[in-house]
Amino acid sequence: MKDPARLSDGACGSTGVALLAAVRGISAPEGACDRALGNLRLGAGGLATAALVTTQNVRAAASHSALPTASAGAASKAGVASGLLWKAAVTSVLLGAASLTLGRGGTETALSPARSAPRAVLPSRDATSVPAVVPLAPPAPSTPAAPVRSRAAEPKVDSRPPRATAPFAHASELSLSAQLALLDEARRAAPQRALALLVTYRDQYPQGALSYEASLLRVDTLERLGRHAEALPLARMLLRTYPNGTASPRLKQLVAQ
Amino acid sequence: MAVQAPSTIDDAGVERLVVLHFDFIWRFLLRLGVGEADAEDLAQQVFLVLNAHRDAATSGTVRAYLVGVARRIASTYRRSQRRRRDVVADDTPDQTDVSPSPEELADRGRAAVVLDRILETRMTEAEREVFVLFEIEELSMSEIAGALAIPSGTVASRLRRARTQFQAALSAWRLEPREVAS
Repeated sequence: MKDPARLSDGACGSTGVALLAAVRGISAPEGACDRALGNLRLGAGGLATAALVTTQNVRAAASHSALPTASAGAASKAGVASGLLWKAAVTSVLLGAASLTLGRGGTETALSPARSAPRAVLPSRDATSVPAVVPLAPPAPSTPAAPVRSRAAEPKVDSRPPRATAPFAHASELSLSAQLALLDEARRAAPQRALALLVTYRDQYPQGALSYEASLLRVDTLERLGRHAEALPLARMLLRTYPNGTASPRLKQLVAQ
Repeated sequence: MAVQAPSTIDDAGVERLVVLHFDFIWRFLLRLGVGEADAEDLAQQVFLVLNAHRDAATSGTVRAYLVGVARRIASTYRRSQRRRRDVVADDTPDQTDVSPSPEELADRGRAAVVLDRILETRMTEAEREVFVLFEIEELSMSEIAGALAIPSGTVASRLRRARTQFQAALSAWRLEPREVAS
């Protein structure tokens, strides 16, 4: 079938053409593509490790949250597990959202993620459980600096305990979804509130599975506030504790500045 | 031009596809009603799905595959957020408002708001997808059919209805003729 002429060829008059032209070819915000590439390079394994992840992976990763973090070795393990968990959770949500199904028959092609899908994974889209939009990575940091701000000086904010939702059978999953929701809220919040939420996270989950991500977010938030002196030692601590962490390259860059 | 997927996609291939298609997917999500603040995150999700399902993306065109993933993610997003785009609620002129002049529409931001208003209020989700892909992103009818997993005839009929709505909106402003381009 021959395609019809497009409206922008003049079939809809100057106003229609202007409307369509206004949005054609616009680009994503500066750096967005680079950030996407950076987030795809998660972990030491890079792109190849970000394969299909299931609820089972999330459960397995969540079980690592109890790993002792006292020694450097254990801390490193926890960091890796934490990174895996983060990736697993992100991908799981994605799978739930994207609902890929192949070979559904009928008129659908093998490429059709459109209708289909194993809706399994982390089904709740409730704002208090796993967020529909999971933070893929905190904003890129700019510059470093000095001493960590005391907790007492930070604003305390009531944290809303995430509501348990049906699909999560295990306590570890409940905890994981709550942690994800809390960090996602922090990522979206204004910097001051984000810091308060991160204090809440630290208080509620002192050895949480997402401690590494929470600390990263704190570094980025401090940078956003221009509090380089506080972000720098935290970044150094993260590098020492999690030398193979997913964000080590950019943390090194930050510390080197 | 659509990029044909290789038989397997390696890491470098995925990165190349991100570079090639990120803006396209970002724009597509915006026009499907995803808020600008969330479009980048959701676009990243699309490519994470691609990365996790490389095998699934190796037949047909990658762009069609990405469209399929993006529309599903956008649909889930809209349902879960239960909100419409901020611009629709806050800035968009009511249909009874004074019509925008061509000069006003030269302002891209204003034009985008007006266009999104039309897409949001005049078209069904299905019509909107086809309209955006054909009239804005300039995909071919056959590629749209593949991406949306619908027959070409359905693409054509949705496009006709969407165009009718688009023209009707323009006509409502008494700026354009009512005839629908075929």
